[in-house]
Amino acid sequence: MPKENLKRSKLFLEKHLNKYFPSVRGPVLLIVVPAFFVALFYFYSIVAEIFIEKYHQPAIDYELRLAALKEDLPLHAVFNYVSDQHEAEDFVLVRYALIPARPVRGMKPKQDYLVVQYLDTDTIPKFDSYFLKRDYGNGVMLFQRNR
Amino acid sequence: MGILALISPLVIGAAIIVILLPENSLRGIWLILTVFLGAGIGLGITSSTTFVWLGMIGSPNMGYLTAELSLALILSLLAFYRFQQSRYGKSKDPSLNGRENCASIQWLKCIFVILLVVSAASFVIKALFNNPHGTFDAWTIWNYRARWMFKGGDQWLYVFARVSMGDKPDYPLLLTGSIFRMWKILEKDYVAVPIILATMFTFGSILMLFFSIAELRGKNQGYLAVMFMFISTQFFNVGSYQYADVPLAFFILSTLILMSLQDNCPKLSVRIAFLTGLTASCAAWTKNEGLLFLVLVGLIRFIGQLGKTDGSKLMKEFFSFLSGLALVVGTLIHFKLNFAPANDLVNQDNLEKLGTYLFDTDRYLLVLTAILKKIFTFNEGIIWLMIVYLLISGFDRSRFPDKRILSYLILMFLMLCGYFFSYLISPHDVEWHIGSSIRRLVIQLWPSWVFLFFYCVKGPEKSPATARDR
Repeated sequence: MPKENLKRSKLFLEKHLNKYFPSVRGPVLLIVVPAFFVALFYFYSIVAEIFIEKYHQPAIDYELRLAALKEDLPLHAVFNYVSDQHEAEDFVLVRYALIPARPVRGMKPKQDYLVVQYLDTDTIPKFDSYFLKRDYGNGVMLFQRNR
Repeated sequence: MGILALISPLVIGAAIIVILLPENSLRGIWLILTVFLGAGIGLGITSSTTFVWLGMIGSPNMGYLTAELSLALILSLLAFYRFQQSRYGKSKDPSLNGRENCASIQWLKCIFVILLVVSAASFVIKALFNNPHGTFDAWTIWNYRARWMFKGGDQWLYVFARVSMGDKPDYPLLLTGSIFRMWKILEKDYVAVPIILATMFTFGSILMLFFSIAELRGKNQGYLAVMFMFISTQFFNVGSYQYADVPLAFFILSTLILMSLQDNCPKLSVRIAFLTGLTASCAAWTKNEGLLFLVLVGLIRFIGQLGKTDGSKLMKEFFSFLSGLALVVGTLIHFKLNFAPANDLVNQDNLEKLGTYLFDTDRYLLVLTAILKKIFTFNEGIIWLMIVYLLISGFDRSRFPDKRILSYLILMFLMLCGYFFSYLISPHDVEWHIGSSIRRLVIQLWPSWVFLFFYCVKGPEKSPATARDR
């Protein structure tokens, strides 16, 4: 009985497929139909993510936020870097944005310059033997070591 | 100057293809091969020359650009001469064996074109507005090193310092070198440069897949293979991240395509072997996994054929292959010996622990289970669609007797074995290591698996002879 049902369903499908797609074999639709919907949905999901949810990778923000600091740091400067951001990508993005300056994570060993990025902290921090050289107003601050 | 930066690799690569294949390279869909493979190998060559210049002479300047453009001009003139020679009948057109000459199914072609445009639009929007700087590995490895080379001045060698755990200063430089080269010529680190390269390699892979299947199995099967790639959205995602996995996938696929063209067109096999050497060496110059691929291609293609085929022809092919890979592999050896620090997987400390890892059966099971799990769930389980399609459609058995399809399958399988052993000897937490990288490793081989799959399964036509335009 199930075998007969299967045969009947196969014949039914073949008849209808032959009507609309006379030159191709049935399994082709297993690829064409998903490809059509997946490609359209993929396009929609990208447009929605970018233009409706306004999502983008954080590298863009880091580049913009650190642009002014980049002008103030001496070329090839080695500087300490302190942040209230805990994602692994924070240090990597600062390092990428400020090339050819080189960040050292944390306060050891002490360098002539200290870059602070406090995005979730309102107060201006104080660091022993450093003075605030410039507050960029976007959470980024540049300190210089006292002489 | 900007346009020169973009077109000079394309001119160099395309001219090499025209010189080697003057009869075919400028006709019909072979233009896809000439343009995209030409751009790929051109980028491989120019990134090598840029790096050698940077390491030996200094930052590439007007002198470098003049030398590169002179090379492009000389090769173009040679290509023109070879093309003219072939047009006036001095050499005949050796067409491929086994091609199914059936008419295009028009509705399939229409859907293919629509989806190609939609996918290209999705990719460009994502790359421009979501990931203009790429994602994590682009900031830590590929674009990071290019930026250091560009902005580092006399301290550019800092690019080979391992500062944090994610750094891979020993990775080869095809992508990094190409980005640096273009930035240097344009004199600014435009984000458009890595985006253009990512687009070229991603859609180059798609169109190379179409070309190969269309040439070997007919256009309709080619449309179907590319549509299958449109379902593989992970491939486009990783492409837009500006990682080197998609360029590596491009070179692995190109090598496999060239090998199958060699088998289908024996008259051209010695000349195509030169291109195979070039693409395999470009794979090795893109990522360390490409080194494994290069060695395996040599083993399977030549050592594995000893005694089975005509010895003198095999030797000719082998020398042609070696000549093809000489320039880029020479640069790679120079880089590995003089600049690259030790690899995090293959180093003295880790090799000492090798015995412990190799006799730990639990580790084998752990790695195998984790890899299989990831493979079967890759891209929402697309592999199951492949299996169902194969079960319903079946293999085209006429492909198997005289072609070397089995050797391509063994090559791909050995690549997977190589990945398996790299996880087995990994000094990192194995589950973390697999979880963080297996998807990219699958991406490296994915277009090649799709190529082999559609090379072997039955075509979309009910009967090639009865297929008509619809």
